[in-house]
Amino acid sequence: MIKETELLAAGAVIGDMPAAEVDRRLRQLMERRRSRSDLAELRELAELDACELERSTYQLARRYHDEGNLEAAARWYAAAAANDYADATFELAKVLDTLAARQRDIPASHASRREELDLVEGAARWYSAAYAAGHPDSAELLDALIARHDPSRPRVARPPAGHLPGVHAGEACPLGGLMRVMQGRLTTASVHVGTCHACQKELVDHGGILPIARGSQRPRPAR
Amino acid sequence: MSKRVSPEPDSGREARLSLASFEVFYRRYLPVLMRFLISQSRDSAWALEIAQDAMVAACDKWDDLLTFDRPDSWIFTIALRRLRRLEARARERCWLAEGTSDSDLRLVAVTDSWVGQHRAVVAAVRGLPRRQAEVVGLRYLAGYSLEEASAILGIGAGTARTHLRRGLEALGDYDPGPPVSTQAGQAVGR
Repeated sequence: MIKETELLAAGAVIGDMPAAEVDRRLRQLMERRRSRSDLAELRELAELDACELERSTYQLARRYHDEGNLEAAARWYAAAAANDYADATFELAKVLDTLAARQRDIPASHASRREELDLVEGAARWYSAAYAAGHPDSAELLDALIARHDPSRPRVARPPAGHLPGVHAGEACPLGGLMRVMQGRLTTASVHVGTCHACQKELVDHGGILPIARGSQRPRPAR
Repeated sequence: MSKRVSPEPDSGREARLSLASFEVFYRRYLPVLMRFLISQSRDSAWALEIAQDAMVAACDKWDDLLTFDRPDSWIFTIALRRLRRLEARARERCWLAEGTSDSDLRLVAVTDSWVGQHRAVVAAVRGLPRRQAEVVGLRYLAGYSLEEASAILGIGAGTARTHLRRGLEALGDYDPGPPVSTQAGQAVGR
């Protein structure tokens, strides 16, 4: 057990460097500044500017966050979190969590699921980093994130673009509707073209797999 | 970018006066900065190097620093940022920590003598999560107020207070473990 009094006592003693040691290090510092190359000087100044830039980056992220622009906030928080600045890791995790929740409400598609997965992965990573940095709340938020984005949960079904349902005015198509029939035929045609030399030639001549209406033949690209 | 102060002694009265001021600053704040950094890094060699790097930066920007209300706050911010950047890079590349910790034995011997009888305190603060260690270190080892500590860390005062409370709670539960015997036969805390 460490008490406050022990901390204060340690603070009064630790680091009491002998004066000769301080002098030695000061001389080293001056010698280092005198003898460093232009490149070394530029590198040190650049590193210094980078340190100061983190503060601005974090403040910009907070501003975007307050204004509700979460995409921009995430981008700038990420820049600050990469170097462990302030609470950027925790804030970034929360923003990605919110963005993932928004993505989850978008009707299911391959792209939206992938986007959601990326966001969840990022949020989980930064919650872990925030936990290590000293935010115990991150553990609960991480648990909730994982529970919310369980891949086995049902999602809102999204009708595909140009969807023609298999049921029209109460009549059901036994093959699943026109769209499914067309998809099936295109797949069959693609497989066939992959093995048939004659059809490959024809495909090249026509410029695509779909039949082209007469009189609207596309010009062939110049070789 | 700040105008640099030339270290050459014959470069003018103003420059010499500024340099003299930097020397005062250096002598006063290097031990405090070291005290803080030793409690934040597992590697004492890193703490020493980063303190010196931060002082070089302060010397480079000395003219600008003279216009600051608290030049010492600036140097704590810069030193801590350098340390955390270095650690973040180390974590990314997996070359941190136990394997390289305290690798420079001469430096370890020097810093150990500074830590003295308070090794258990340093070990306990080093064992805290980073933000908690930073607030505890700035508040108790470097002697800053909570508001000053929050400004140095770039976080809100309320957040700093929360980190301080959690840090003190964790230190209250800290178990230094059984004493470890040194070569000289002394029993010290881990």
